[in-house]
Amino acid sequence: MSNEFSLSLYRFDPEKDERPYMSDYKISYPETGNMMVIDAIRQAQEKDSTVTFRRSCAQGVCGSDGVNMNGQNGLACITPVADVISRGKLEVRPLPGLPVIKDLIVDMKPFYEQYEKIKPFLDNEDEVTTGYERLQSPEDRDRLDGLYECVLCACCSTSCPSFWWNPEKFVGPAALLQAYRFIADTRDKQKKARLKKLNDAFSVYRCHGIMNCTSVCPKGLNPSKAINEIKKELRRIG
Amino acid sequence: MGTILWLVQRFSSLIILSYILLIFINYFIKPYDVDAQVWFSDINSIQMKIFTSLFLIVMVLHALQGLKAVEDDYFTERTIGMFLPGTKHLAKFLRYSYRGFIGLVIIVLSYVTVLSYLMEV
Repeated sequence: MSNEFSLSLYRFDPEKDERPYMSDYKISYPETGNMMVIDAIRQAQEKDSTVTFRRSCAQGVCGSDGVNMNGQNGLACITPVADVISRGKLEVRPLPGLPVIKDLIVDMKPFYEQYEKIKPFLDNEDEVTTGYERLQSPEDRDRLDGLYECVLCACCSTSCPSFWWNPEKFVGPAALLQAYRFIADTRDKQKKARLKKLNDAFSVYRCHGIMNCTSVCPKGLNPSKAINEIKKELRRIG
Repeated sequence: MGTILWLVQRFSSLIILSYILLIFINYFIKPYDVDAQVWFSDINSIQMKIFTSLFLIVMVLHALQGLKAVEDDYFTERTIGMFLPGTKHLAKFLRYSYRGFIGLVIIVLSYVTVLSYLMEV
């Protein structure tokens, strides 16, 4: 195996460039042979300090380094180069469907606007009878597993064609996963209101079950299943 | 409204499927290929005319929803601008042309079907 590979990075500075272009960098594998995509981008940054990239924890927790690697969305910090490289070449582009601010950094505003729409917080005005917390049975708590772990990296929503074409109207898989997290929560008192707000031709029903969201989720979550659960609940309330 | 449209799409597809299956199964169990009269009497029966009318109505409803989804996805400034940069100002014109074409197809098909089959003029 060669100890070098070619990293091709999407470059675009709206203040200087008329069109986006790709820059190639020769990247060396470390002696251990293991390398994450984020390490390859860092090496490229050492060679060219103008390469712009957003990252924070580098542990797959903050969700800030979502990128498209050889056509597949994911978090650069927890994706091994070996998993995505093809014929000695790795192309890294910004998340598709969102406006590019610079190079690999996208404007997350359309994504957060949809997240805001679903009111991602418990809505319950009843008095807390225990004085300190709202109790929930272990079974009810179990229903939230696979829903609350989302890190809002936007890998799912930006891999969804329905979100590409209608980012203002279709809520998108990430926000719908969060919507179901509160719909399914027995401590929340706005289940019906939440569902009614989603009952139009776009918010939920624009999902055609393509399932790109589920296949790219770096946390192994299943937004498609949550969306189907919301559809079932919508049919139940009529 | 979203749920109603979703249900219309699902139930209409069931009616479309059952109509196609009826025609298909009849073709194999009845001697349509040797005796055209059997075909004519079957297709011109009142039950078949009612079922065909229902089929046409749900087909239009089903197709309109699908075609509206195509319009919402692809006849927008965003999509047209992406595929053909510099032409996004044509999105509105293309959208209305697309609607006009679909409307025309529905009118022609309905006219032909109603006059030549359902009313047998």
